Amino acid sequence: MTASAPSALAPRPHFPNMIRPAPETDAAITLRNVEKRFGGTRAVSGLDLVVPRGSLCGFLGPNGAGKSTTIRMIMSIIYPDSGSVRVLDDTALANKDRIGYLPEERGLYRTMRVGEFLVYLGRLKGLTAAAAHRNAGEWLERIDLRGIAKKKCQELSKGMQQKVQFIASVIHDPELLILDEPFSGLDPVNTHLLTGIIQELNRSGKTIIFSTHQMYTAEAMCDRVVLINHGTKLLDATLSEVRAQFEPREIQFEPVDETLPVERVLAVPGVEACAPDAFALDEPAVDSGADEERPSRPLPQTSTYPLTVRAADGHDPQRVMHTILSTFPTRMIALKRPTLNDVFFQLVHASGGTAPALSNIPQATGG
Amino acid sequence: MTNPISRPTGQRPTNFSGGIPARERSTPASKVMAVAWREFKHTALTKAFLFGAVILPLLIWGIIAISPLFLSREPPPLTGTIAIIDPSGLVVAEATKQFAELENRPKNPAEGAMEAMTQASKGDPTALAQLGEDTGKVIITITSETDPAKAEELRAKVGANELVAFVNVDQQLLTATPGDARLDLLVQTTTSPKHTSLFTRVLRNATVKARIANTGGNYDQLTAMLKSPEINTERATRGGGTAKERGDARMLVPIVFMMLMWIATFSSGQYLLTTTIEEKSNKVMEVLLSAVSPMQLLMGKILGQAFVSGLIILIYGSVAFSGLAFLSMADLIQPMLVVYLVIYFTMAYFMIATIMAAVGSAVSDLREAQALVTPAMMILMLPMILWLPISDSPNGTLATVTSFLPPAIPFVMMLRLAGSEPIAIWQVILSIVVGFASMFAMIWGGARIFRVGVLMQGKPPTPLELLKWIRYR
Repeated sequence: MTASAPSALAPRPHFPNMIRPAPETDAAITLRNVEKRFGGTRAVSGLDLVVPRGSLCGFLGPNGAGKSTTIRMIMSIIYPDSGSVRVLDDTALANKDRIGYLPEERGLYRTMRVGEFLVYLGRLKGLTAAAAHRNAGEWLERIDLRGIAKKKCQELSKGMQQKVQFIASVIHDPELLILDEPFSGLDPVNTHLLTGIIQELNRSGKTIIFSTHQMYTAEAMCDRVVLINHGTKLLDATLSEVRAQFEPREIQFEPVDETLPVERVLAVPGVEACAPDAFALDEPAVDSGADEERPSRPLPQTSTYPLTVRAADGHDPQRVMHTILSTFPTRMIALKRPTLNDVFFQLVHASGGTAPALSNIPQATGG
Repeated sequence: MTNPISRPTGQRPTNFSGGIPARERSTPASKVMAVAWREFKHTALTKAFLFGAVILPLLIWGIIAISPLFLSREPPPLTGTIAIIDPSGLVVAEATKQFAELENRPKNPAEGAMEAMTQASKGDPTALAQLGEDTGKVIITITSETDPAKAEELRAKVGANELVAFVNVDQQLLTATPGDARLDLLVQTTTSPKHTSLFTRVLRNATVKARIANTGGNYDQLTAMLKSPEINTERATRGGGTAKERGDARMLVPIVFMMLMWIATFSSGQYLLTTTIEEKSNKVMEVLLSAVSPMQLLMGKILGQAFVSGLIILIYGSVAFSGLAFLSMADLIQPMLVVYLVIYFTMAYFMIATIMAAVGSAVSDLREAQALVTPAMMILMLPMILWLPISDSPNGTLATVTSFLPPAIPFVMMLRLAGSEPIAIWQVILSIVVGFASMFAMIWGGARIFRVGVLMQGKPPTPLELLKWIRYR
């Protein structure tokens, strides 16, 4: 183990290729080699994407990764410079009434009444006035907003406005629902409510794609995840494929001796790195045998517990765990199951950190 | 309650529009109409519009109509004595007679106002001016003095409010060569200006009459001889008959027509600009564009504001026409002029609406919009600036050239057509052809700018960049 050992900043060999696109048969959305530039900035690059019908797909990525740009291209609000986009066997333009869309930058007519706003959007989404009235009433009941139809939109709280905007995207009973950051700004209670509704819609046969930063929500809801960064796809697989492929190599360890120096743990055969938390694992200072060319920070005499220990490549994490257990009196030791959050961080870091926010660039604000 | 999302698990929608039964689906045209209705409702059926575009003009019209009643407010009554030093006694005699006439005339200001209004409508320009000289109740006694030495004593009496006024008549005034001779008038500190003006008028009149009598002339005969003759001007009408000529009123018809069109198109153009900017700043634009195409949105918005514009022209036009009918001048409006108004109004509205919508789509607030609207406004202001030269010479080079300059076409043509000189029919046809061709070109370009602009954020574009957007894919 040296400081020049594989760092998490470089793709790790045990990170499998997670581009496992769904088959194109029965696809709700198909993107082929899609490119989009804004001036000198490449927002989306060579993106291939297949969202199967009936799936609940999480669209993940850091700020400015190209999520909203991709969604806008799917919606035919903007067009790719090259490549093709097919939505429900045609373009979104031809299928507007079959698609529900909650944009990232969503708004309301401030002085319009809630009921009137929803009926208006329903009519624009292809409903007759009577059907729009009926659906608006039913959805307001369903989403705990009864009695606000006569209120002006500007009188609502931010959370209530967000729920009204959600209704506007589903009022016409679309078969494909595209939600850009549907949970941003919602409190936990309303996040839970919306999560339940989205899952119910999916169970009733709707195809749903939503972008989010909330990994726990995506992990709990999605059957498929797509991760992009710098406009390039890093991951495209079902959640079970991700879990199966991302081999757990991190161990949580809490020794009985609270003064145990980290360097002693690092000395255990098969231990590649050890740090008080997973994010510090790749900091060179905590590696054993500091690189000669790099000045090393003094190792901490004691640690914050539990420690996170990473098994080196070629070593069985189970054996490393067993060695630690037999070397130090142990209060707790466990093999960490990788969360989507871990996968997200690892892949984004491996692809070169977070993308710069594309501020001041038309049509490319947000992810 | 039927839950709109409760479809059995695994069942996928098979019909065209998700779960919407065919009878509950609207058509693309009805989407445009939905946008148009929202635009109209949230512009025209609001308190602000009702006040600004309906109540305010009616209020102004009403104030103009009843203002003479307020102008004719009666001053406090005036009773007292005026001392006049007039050795000849001629001025005293005339003044006494005229004050006596004043005392006996009817004193109902409303009657006077209505009479003046009627006179004014018949073309008497002095009728309304005289209203301001209603002096209320005046009972004046004249005491005559012949000794000029008493002047100081009488002046003191005015100062002590014992006399209403003191007058000293220079006898030279009563000769055939009055020269610089004057008539001195001293009034009390508190005398109303209206009364001072009345005294002045009576004394001047009395002095002139006294002079003519003194020199052996006949006042009534002389004034009758000096009166300018009235000219009854008539204009031959197309039907072969004649109609009463109203030169001043006729001059106003073109500007009234142009202003009518200007107000109607610019008001709704302004509304279009505001609502488009509002949709962008409220971030509701992307929601709308997920449901309708930019073209459908633009058409709906323009159509909705067209109804607003039509409503404005109907309200203002009706008020103007009823005003003319009230003054028995409705014949100034030829039926063909109304047809031209409809044609050129349509042209003007769509040109301005497209410019405003395109600009509104490209900016984030009204302040930014001003920079882009200004160049277009400068061309559109042309007919306003050139109103007089065009009205003066409706077939001159300036009028002819500006008749084919696209955004100004409808306004200039309306000015020319509503004027008195006939316009060559080929010019009318050509202006309509050029105008509508430009209108369609502007709608096409405007729609392309709108399509790009609605999604743009950040720094507002320059007018040149705006033109570049037309070429965007």
